[in-house]
Amino acid sequence: MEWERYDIEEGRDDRTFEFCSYGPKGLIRKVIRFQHRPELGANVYNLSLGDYEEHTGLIDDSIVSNNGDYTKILKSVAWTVDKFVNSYPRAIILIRGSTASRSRLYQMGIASAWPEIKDRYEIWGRRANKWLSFEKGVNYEEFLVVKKIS
Amino acid sequence: MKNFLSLKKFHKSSRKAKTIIVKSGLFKGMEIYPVRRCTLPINENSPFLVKKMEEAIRCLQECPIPEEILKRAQG
Repeated sequence: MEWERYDIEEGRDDRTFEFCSYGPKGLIRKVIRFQHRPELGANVYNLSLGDYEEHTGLIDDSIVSNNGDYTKILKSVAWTVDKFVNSYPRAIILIRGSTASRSRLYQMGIASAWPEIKDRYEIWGRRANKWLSFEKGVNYEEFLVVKKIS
Repeated sequence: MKNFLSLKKFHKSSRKAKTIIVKSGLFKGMEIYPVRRCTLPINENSPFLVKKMEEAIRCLQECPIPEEILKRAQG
C-alpha cells in the first residue's frame, strides 16, 4: 500500500526531524529524535516520537491526539528512518511505542511496508523476551531495524 | 480576505499547503498562508527524552540485542 507522508524538516542535527500533523484536531507538531547513549550499545539508537507542546515548550508522547492521520505519521517516521540510516548505515534502531497500542501501530506500519523494505532492512521483533526475525502476522512488543549491508 | 502570517510555530509541511484554516488558539478560524519554519531546540536532557532513554535502556537490559545483530551492524 502506498501511504502519503508529511513533508519533513531535518532539525539542527542529523538525528532530529520535525513535521506537522494536520487533521480534525488542527496542527500538531511532531518531533522525531534518534537518541544515542553509550549505555544502549555501540551503534544503537532509540527512536523517540512526541508532540511538541507550544505552551510548555516540551515534547510529550502521552497525549492521544487522534488527528486521524496515523498512516501518514507512520509513513513519515519510516521516511526519517530511511534518511537516518543514510547518515548512519551501521545504526541499530530501537523502535517501541509508549503503549502496547502504539507498538501495534508500528507493527502495522512495518507489515504494510514489508514488501518494499524487506530487501533493504533486517527487522527483529521482541516477543516473549526474545528477539526474532520479523514475520507478518506475529505480534511483537518492540522492534530493531538494521540496514542490510550489500 | 486571506492572511499572510509569519508564524514560528508553522512548519514547512504546512507552509507548502496553499492555505490552512487554523483550528485553535489565537488565530482560530483564520485562513492563513504559513510561511516560516522553525526548528525546535532539542535538549537531550529534557524530561521526555530522558524518560525515553531510560525506557530504551531498561528494554535492552531485559532483552539484550543478540550478538548476531550487533556484529552485523559492525560489519
